[in-house]
Amino acid sequence: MVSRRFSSRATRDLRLEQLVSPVPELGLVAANGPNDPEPELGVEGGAVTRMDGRESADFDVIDRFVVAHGLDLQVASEAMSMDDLALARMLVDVNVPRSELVRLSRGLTPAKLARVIGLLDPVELMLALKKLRARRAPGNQAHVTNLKESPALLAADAAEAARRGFAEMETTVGVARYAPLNAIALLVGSQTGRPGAIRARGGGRRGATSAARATSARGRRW
Amino acid sequence: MSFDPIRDYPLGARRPDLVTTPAGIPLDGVSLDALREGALAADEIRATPRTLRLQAEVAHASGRTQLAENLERAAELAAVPDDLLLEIYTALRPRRATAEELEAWAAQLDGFDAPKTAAFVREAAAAYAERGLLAHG
Repeated sequence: MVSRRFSSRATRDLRLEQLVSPVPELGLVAANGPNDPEPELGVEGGAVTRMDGRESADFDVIDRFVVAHGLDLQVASEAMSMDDLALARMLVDVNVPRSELVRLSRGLTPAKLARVIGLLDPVELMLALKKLRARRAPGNQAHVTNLKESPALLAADAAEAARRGFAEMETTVGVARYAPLNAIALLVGSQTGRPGAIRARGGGRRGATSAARATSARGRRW
Repeated sequence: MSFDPIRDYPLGARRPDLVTTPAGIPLDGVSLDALREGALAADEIRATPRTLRLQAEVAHASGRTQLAENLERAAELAAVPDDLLLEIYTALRPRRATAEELEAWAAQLDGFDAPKTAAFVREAAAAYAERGLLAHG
């Protein structure tokens, strides 16, 4: 017997969606877009004057944050002068330690990092990710949501996600006042699917995440 | 025994003697039994500034500078009441606060002996001013 949850899923529009081919000229591309800026870093007297095609006066808040808290100017000239391909190869070379890659990456601008990543294929990216992963025991995070904001459905989906191995779950609500209910549904569901699994990882969060984020700033240019 | 940020991580397993609740209850006193007996209030189950500073030392020692700085700010914020934190969080969203209001929040943080977080708020205020993200007062 097919459960109502699965039969209702099968009729959802999301199931009918097609894969979208990249449209680089519109920016719909993961890496190597034709409009990506040329990597560059201008430093004068210990201050960043230009980064990736922009004067410091034109920096948006993300550029500013990268410059103030992300870039290590001690390594920048060494790292920025390195060949993209050489850096890409270091990412997949088991003889290059994580510490060296972390040191160099702090001297790279976002455009340079994007160039390097753009040279790797999916399997190489996975190896690079494994090399750079800071966690001793990796755990994956999942978003569990549903349009109806039905707590029973959320709990069932959370149970399935935990059962399938997700170590942490998060939800997004359409109606803010349902947030506590969704959080409880997620907690009950995840612990039912794999009791205690989520708190087992020392480096992970303890217990299911109960935060419901209403909005996300990611991807917006301020 | 002195604290060694490389040897003593994770704190809960290697140095439970250094971890307590805000009221000073030792780590092994944080149990379901203690909760049932009423010996443990809900607001006792949180990190103390001291624990967070030790975690920051661990992060520094393993070369995770940004994480260490986060933990240092967290240590400062452990003393700040939750509702005040939420108000500051809201004020930092785009176009929610004027330059004067952000400066007032930074000054309040200074009052809680949270200079790093106060500097963070002032840095945001300067960036918001240039990018047109302040509220029109």
